[in-house]
Amino acid sequence: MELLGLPLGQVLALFGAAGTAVTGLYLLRPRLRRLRVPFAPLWESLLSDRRSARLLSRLRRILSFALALSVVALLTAALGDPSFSSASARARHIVLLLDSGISMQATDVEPSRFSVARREAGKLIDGLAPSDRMLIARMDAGCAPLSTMTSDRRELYAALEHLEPGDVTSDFTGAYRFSLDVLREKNRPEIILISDGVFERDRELEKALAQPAVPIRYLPVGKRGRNLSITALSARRYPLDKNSSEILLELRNGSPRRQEVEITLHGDGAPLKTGRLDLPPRRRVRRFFRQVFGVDRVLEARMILAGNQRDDLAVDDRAYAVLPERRKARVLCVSQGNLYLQAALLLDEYLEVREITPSEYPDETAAANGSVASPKPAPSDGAAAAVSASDHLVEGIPGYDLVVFDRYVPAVPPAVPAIYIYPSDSEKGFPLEVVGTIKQPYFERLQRGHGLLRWTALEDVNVAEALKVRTARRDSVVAADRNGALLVTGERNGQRFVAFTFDIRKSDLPLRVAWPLLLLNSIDWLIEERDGFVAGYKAGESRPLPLPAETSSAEINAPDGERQVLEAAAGGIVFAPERAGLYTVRAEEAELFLPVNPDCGNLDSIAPQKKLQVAGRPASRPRPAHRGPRERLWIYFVLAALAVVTVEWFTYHRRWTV
Amino acid sequence: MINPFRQPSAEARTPRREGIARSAAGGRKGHAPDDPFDERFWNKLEYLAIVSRRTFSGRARAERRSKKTGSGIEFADYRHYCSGDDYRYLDWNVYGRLGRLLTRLYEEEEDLTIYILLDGSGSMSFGNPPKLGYAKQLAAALAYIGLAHLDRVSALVFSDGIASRLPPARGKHHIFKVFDFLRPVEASGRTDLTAALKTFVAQNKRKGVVILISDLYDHAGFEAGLRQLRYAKFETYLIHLQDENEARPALLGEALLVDAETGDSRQVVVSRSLLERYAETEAAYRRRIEAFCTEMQIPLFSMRTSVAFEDAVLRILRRGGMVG
Repeated sequence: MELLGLPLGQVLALFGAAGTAVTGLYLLRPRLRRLRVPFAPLWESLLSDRRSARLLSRLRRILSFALALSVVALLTAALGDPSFSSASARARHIVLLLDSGISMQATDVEPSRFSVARREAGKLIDGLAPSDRMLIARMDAGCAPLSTMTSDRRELYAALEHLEPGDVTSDFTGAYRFSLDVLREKNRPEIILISDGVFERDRELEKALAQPAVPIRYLPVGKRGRNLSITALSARRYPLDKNSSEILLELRNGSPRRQEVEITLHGDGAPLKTGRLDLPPRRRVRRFFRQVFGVDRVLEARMILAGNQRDDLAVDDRAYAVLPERRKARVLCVSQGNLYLQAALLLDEYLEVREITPSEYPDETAAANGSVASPKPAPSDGAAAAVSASDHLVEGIPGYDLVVFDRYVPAVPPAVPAIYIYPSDSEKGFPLEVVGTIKQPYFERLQRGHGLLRWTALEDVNVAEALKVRTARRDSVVAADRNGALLVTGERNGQRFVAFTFDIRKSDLPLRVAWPLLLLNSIDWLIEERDGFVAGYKAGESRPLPLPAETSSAEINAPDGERQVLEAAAGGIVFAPERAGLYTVRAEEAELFLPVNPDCGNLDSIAPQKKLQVAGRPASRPRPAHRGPRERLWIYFVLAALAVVTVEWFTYHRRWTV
Repeated sequence: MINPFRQPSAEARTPRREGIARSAAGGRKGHAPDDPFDERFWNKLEYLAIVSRRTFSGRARAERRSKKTGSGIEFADYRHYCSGDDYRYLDWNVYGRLGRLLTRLYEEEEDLTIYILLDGSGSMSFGNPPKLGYAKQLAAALAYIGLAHLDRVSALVFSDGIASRLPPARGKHHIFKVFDFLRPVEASGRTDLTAALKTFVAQNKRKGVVILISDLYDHAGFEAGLRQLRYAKFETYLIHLQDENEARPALLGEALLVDAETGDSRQVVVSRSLLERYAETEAAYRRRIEAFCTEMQIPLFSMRTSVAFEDAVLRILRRGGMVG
């Protein structure tokens, strides 16, 4: 016999306290009923045996006292939930894995797979033997326990109560490993998985982990897998036309039938495009939308099935993407006058250019001391006013994102990115060491993958002369002649630079389309807005927020209205969204949108799997617990107490025991 | 033959309802809610008075025919003349025919003194209805019957002595005084029949009928007191009142029994067997009363308060020969 409820010490303490109280009540002399009789002598003869009457009364009181103590003993023993040791030996230790992945949101069974799974979990809890213990764990991208290993059904029901499926693909192998860890050295271990069988898994790892002593039971939910989903949505601005965007949309038909879908693109909440797509069965289809106007920040794609049909999983029928905020980059051009340069800079309407002569540029001392006296920032328009405060704190050249030095080199490098074009007249502030000249160099070696050279063709450009420079170790030579570098990128004092070692006026580069592209690519590369692309999040993915490094906290508004504040830690503010949707992030004065799309992983189908094999062994159905009449002894204790109380009540009201 | 069934006189039959009502209300307008002597009670009294026809011996002339011969107007018998007889009662016709001097005897109509002794001890407060209230109605009924037959009626309340006394009086109008006398009586004190009846005998030299209404719960015993009445030549009638619950009390379990008169207490555990034994003891006590009354030739009427008052008077008193 053992106690499954309160420990023996507490049971004895309870019995002692209650027994003391009952004893105290019995020690108090009861106040007898006073009954007036008209003629007491009639009773005299009957009371001749008063001694025996007192003895009988005392015996009755002792009997009543014993009955009360027995009631207390039975109830306190019931609190201990006694059980035979044999029943305890038959007790199972169960880890119930409840699949909370995205596929469990499917509505092929009413009301959803997850609701059915939760109902089945409730039935399993109901069917537990009193000595059985269970731990409920949520299985999605990770595995998290929702309860302790307990036989307390209330705790188990409470664990199920607020559980909802997520927007990520479940990982069975991780949950399997977690379950084996929990059940290590437990008596009669068992794993029960309630799932649709749609999850990611590493079968090799499962083989390595498998323990034959831990059987796994599988309870499948779901009946079909008709699902079409948006698997990718990306958008970027055109570099030279930031009013228009290019959109990539990828859809997948996971059902076994060809299906026509209707696609709707929304830009900032307003419909942009609508179209129909015919999706072959079990195939992915990509669709590009070019020259899309009307979307400034948020792009949303929605998919519905043609013919008023609906698929079984709605959460992946919608996706979000975000375009970067458009603002004009302010460029300071220090030149004696270069029409080619001026013309190229004018091509980009998102550049705000101010040109000064080298004499107007702050002297070396002022620049070195971080003076903000001159040059004055250009008159700002609305876009410029939106420049963040951090931009104005650029030391030395306040208010400018970039400086272009044309045949001029300042005494001290600026504290912003810079483009140096043929720095022939000064070598003092030039980040490279000039060691000579190169006559008639050619673009013989090009880093084709470098962003500066995108969409350019430089192989046949003729150059009269170039400076021969010695680069530092981490500098990158993007284009070079056999005798030296022609185009060099690097970083000094935390600021990037691009150096043209040749005079563009002494080449035919300005006559080519490649010139403005090369210049604008350089500007984009330097201010990191090269493609105008903002990567989206996947639900369950943990990534740092794209916020300035000095940001200490950020407030995040979830699509369902929930708000949370994240504090910065080492590496910035890391955010791991659990649900798909469009999040809004506010940090100090910055505000940005964060598109989070469901993580469908590599799932091509959400068709439920009726059978499951783990490490080559098929999983069986859950087995009901052995629930014999000897399992719940506390009920008999309570019934016995009730019987004693009933007997006491019966005899009391018939004046047998009083 | 003596005709014992002569009806009461017109004066005796005349009811005075308004007086009854006023008296029943104790001089107030209307009846008190718990007044035992209300209009209904009066109607019952009228009925009982009509049917009563028992004769009792008395000293004054009254409507009741006495067993004695005397100066009445109803001829009773003859007897031989003795010296000293009144010549007026000699029957000269008989003397002329037979030559013998015979004196005519007439039934002498006398009044009767009826003493109604009401037990007012604490034990009379028991019962449902209380025995005392029942006894008051009984006493009033008997008093009215007596008054209706032009007898003298006196009422006394006793416990361990004579607590109060209404002097003998005649006439039906006297019933109001009886009511006023009985109404304030409350049960208190302990019963001492010996002392009470000894006082009664000493105070009342005129012999008559004594109607004793009591539960006879005397700790010292009821016999000595009754014997005194017998020895003092009072014609005694005993009405033994009992409540139903006294014989079979609804009592079980442990309790403290307190005597209503003495205040003595006893702790008992009442069981069904004890109750049965109590019932036997109580029955033995009643048999003791009956045996004593038989021995002393005292008419005994054992009455339960559960019996309706008028039924009790008509059935039990008639069967006992006390009235009607």
